Amino acid sequence: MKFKLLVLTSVLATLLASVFASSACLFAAYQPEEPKCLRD
Amino acid sequence: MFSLETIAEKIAANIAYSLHMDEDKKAVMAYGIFCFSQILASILLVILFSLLFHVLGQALVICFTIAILRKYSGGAHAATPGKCLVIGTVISVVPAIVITHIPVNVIWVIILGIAAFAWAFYEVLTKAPVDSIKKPITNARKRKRLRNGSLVILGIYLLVIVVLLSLHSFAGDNGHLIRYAACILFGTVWQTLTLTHSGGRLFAMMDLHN
Repeated sequence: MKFKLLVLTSVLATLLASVFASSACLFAAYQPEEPKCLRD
Repeated sequence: MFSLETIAEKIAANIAYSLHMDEDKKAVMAYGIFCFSQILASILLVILFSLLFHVLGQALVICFTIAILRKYSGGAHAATPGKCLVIGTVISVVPAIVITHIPVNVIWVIILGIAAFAWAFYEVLTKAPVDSIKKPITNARKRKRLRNGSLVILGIYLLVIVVLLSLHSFAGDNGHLIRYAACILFGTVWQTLTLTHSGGRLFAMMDLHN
């Protein structure tokens, strides 16, 4: 159960990161350092 | 000290350790978790403070007008997540209170709207997307896509304002629709300002004084 939850969280977090990477900047006025592997 | 960025990194590190993931995957997860929590915190703070002043609808309209355009146009940034939350909340709630309590005139909204949108289209055409050191946008195709997206969003905002003012004129409400149009107008002007050098300097000043 814990393993499945971890996998689900990791998939969701990765999906969200790729969604945010496609935009010019984050929703709010702070931009965290974007991982190099997500750039362009 | 409490920091969403640190918490996101710790959660990502725990998951990466348990699932035997490499550093790249861990960094991507931390980025996703942090972005999600920062967005959630921003919206919750705007909801909380706008409820206190009875301006929930107006504040959310300003908040989302800024955020949706910002997604495509980029703009100046705060130095820390905490300062970003403060600036975002103040910029959404204070103008909402002002717009709710001052007398608004449809003629003034039209005059200011024409001036504001002429300026916004010019700034977006010449400057967007405004990137940052932490998220550089170097790909020409991506830059073009984001600039075109910004122009489409501006066009949609303009259309919504025209519809709201037309509905006000024909349906004759008690000023609510003009106030929502004024909120969209304010959000557009603020987001356009963050694309300029003056906007960048303003953010730098707020970073120093917060």
